[in-house]
Amino acid sequence: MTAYIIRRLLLLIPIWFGILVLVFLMRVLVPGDPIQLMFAGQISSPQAEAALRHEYGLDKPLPQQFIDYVDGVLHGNLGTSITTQRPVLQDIESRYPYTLVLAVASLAIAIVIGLITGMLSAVYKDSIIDMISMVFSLAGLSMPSFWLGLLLIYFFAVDLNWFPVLGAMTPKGIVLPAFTLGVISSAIISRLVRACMLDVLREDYTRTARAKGLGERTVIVRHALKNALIPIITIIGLQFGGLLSGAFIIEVVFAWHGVGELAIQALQKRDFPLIQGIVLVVATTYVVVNLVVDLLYAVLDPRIAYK
Amino acid sequence: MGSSDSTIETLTSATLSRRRVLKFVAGTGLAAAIAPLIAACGNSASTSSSSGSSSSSASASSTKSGASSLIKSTPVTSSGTPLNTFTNSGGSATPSASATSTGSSQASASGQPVKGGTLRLSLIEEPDSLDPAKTIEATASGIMQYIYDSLVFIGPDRLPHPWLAEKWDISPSGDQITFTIRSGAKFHDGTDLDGAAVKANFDRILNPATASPAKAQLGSLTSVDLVDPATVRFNFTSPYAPFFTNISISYGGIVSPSAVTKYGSAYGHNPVGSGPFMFKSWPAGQGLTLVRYDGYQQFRTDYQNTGPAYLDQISYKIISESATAQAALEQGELDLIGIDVQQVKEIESNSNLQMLVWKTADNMDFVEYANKWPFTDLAVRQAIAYSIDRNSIVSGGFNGQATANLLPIPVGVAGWDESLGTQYGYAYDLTKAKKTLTDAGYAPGSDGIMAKDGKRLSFTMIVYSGSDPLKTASQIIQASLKQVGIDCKITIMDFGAELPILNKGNFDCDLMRWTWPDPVILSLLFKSPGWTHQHSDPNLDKLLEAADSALDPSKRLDAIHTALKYLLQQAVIAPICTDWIVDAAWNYVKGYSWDALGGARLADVWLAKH
Repeated sequence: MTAYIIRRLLLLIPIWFGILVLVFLMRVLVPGDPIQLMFAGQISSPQAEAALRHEYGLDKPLPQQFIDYVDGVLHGNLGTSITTQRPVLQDIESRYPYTLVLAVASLAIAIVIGLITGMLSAVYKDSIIDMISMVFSLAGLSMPSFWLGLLLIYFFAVDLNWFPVLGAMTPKGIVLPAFTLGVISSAIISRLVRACMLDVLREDYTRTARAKGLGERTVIVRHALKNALIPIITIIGLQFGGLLSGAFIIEVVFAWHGVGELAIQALQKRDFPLIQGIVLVVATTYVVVNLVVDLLYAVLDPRIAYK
Repeated sequence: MGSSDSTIETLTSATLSRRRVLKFVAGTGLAAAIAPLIAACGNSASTSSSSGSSSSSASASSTKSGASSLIKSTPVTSSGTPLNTFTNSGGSATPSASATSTGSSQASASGQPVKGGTLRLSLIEEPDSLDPAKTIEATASGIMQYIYDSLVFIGPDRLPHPWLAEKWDISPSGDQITFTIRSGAKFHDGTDLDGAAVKANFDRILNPATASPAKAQLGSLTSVDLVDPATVRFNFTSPYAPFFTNISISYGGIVSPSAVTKYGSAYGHNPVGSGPFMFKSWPAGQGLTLVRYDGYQQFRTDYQNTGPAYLDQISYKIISESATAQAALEQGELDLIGIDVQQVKEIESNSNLQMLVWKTADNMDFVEYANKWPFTDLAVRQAIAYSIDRNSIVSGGFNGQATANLLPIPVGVAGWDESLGTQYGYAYDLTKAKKTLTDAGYAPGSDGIMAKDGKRLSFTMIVYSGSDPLKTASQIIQASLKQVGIDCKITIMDFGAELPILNKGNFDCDLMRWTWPDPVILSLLFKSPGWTHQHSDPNLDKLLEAADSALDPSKRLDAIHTALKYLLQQAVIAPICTDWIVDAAWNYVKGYSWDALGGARLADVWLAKH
């Protein structure tokens, strides 16, 4: 098992390299230059621009910049942000907890809502409960998170005054943003739970469990759900990635000071070091989360063993 | 619904294969993950009404705090009387001839100022640095103006007035300015603000090792000499007229040299000046807090409050989304914000809030051209200028929060002169537009589009995506041009993507917004090669050079007028309007006003609550 974990973690290295190459390619493919943007609308001089370019190493040829950057990363230095004039690592360290907290809270809400509505739909298939929950899922899947977030702010924060508008990292403040992301994500989980449960409920072993005289609740939760969980957990693991990136927009809407808000600002200003750093960190998180999901299988299904 | 149902059921069929699930979801998951990133690339920050010096609000470098960042000179009519600088339902000094601000009225000059309280403002982004030598960002300058004092301030007469400098002498050749520094001023850390400190400031900016983006603001300045402890001489290679404006705004803020030595490269996050507010804290990513400097003396003569500020603190929160800032204001979590023109109606209908409008702003919205046919044809440029329905754009695009402008200079910048516009400008007239084209040999083709020598008047106008008013304006212009027989297509793109296109000249024309407090804006835009590298007119260059080197105010004004006349006759751009700066605040915010260049006088502000 340990060997398996180590092997999976070693996979991070080619993944990092791949990300670095892709993000560096972005500089070539996406138009826009940070120094040009900085001086747009300002009094500028060729000397001033050249001096800044030199300071950020942007005057070197691209392959050289890549090598310098990789060298820096290997020594734990992710460069200096052009837009915050601070080390990238410092910026990310100070903000990443916000993003993680939001993603985890959203995931929790998504799982709770998704599991409950999915199970209810499956158990009461084709009833009014099923239909309501399917409509709810469709609405959640189609809704733009940005819009839902603003709607919730205006209704629950401004009109009803139940929550603050600006509540970064407070228990009350996390409810609305986590709910916004969670509701949308729960729609997918709900649909999947419903389908998986329906499938499992048709299986022979479910019939056997019922025939044995077990209570319906035991049948559904201890037997059916546990087996249905494997594809569900896969989806949840993948959803986490979606939540991390969905958090970017939600962070802007709710002024939730995570890396997402920072990334949006960095993207607009073409702050390459910062963008690279954030993408690396988010991708790494995603890989680690999927590893955890894989390990969970071994817990859920004794037939699965990793060597 | 049905199809996705069966897809999922297929996935969860007997094989329960994780690999199949992953394959299916990989496609959608990847798309879902990338979509926000692409969306972010495509959407620049929302436009800012309380803008700074960035040419387009889409570059997101304008502060949304009520403390309007850039300072500009108040325009005067040709007879020299100052135009109304702002309207304020809270009633501060300057009389306003036009309509007072809308929204709930509050008793003007109500009561005596009360000490205490925190003014809670918002920023659309985190500033990069609070070191004037290391940043030219508008967001940063909006905050720095409270931490630092400068040598001079620009008054309502648009002339420099003593501030930290008691007086100054300009050498006859105009290439030396000698300032006498006031005695008794101290930095927040207790050190003296004297000639040596001033020299250290400018030496630092001039020093190539600093790589200061602000260096370009100093123009032809080459060195600074300390003549005696209270006297500093600035040496230029040639007279540089924009100098006084540039050092009066926050880029010229005087920093404490001891603090720079103490903090080194971290100084930008630990600023020490001599202004009415001191830096207190800046938790990364969250916001900033300034506290009152109790030892402050107000040397400016355009402030009501001659002593330390009334407010205990100013706190800034970072809120990139304007709708969220508005919600926070309405909720009572913020005291004052800058608002977009679209938010005006909602603010007006809220009786707890007042609207503060600065009409003679230094913003300019216009159409500019690439140096290629058909825009090389004067007749075409003039026809386009005649086709701009400014009134519709002001009401439809800017919600009435703008002044139609015939001149290629913002209404609030020195040199703006209504009579020049009347004489040489191109007021909206579609008949004249058509006639200009037909007189020049254009004739409508079978599709109704004007053409000459087989070449149709058809081109694409770029608009950047951060500004709803400009997007509306582009549609109005497109419709007007259609009536004249010009086919104008519109492309909307992110400003960051647009800028390289403009710089390379790979465009036809574009709709742009610029902000700058000094008449040097004409040179920034039009002096060869021009900001889009499309301009190379030696005649214009000569006129602009004359305006940039005339240190005598009346000579400079004359030179600017001459340049404006030329720009109008050549229809170099098609001016549209000057959009206003609009802030919304709770009624208990008193004493709020803008100085001549649009800097909010927060040292005069007090909160009528507790």
